[in-house]
Amino acid sequence: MTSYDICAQLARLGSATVYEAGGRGRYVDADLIQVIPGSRTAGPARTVACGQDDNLMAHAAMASVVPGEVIVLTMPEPRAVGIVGDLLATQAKAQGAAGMLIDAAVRDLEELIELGPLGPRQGRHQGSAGHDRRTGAGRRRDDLPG
Amino acid sequence: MQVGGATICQGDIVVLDADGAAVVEAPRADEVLRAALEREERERVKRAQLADGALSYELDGLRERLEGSSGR
Repeated sequence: MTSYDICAQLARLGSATVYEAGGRGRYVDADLIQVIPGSRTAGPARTVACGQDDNLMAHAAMASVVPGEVIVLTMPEPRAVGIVGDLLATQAKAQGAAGMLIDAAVRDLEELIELGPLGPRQGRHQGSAGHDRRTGAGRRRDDLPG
Repeated sequence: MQVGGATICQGDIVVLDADGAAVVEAPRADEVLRAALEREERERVKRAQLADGALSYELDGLRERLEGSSGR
């Protein structure tokens, strides 16, 4: 079974079942918002630590992401500064990212929903959407949509 | 890096859906998938039993745990 097939199966089984089957090891305990209702995905993490209120590294990530990866973006402190919006999400989708998990604020929610699930275009992946984390005036998005 | 208390390393498998986000350490992906597929099969069988009227209270031995093995 290829890693791609493994991820497709894990996405189908879902985060709760995978967490339980894995011995209840690692689950993101955060107030996330799923940006695209009904979306699900799984993929190897491409971890990206952004500076405070600075999404430079998010832009850089779009130049290095490999199709099928889930981009994981963090910022030191949650603030109402949109770290990802529709232009970055458009790039993520075009580059074949399977999804995004964003522990920070996002913007352009309606456009993100319109853009739809991410996912490798060449694959059978279901694609994904986003999770956001609401923090005060901002949104922290965990898994972005397309 | 840490996200919501969970460690996520480059290449770990991140599973995202409506419930939230689970993380599988990359070297454990095969093992966790096998366990998840087994769990899915067990749940498929149990779901059919529950749909037919069986109770998890009985199937999982919870009555015994709560009320004692004598059942009294």
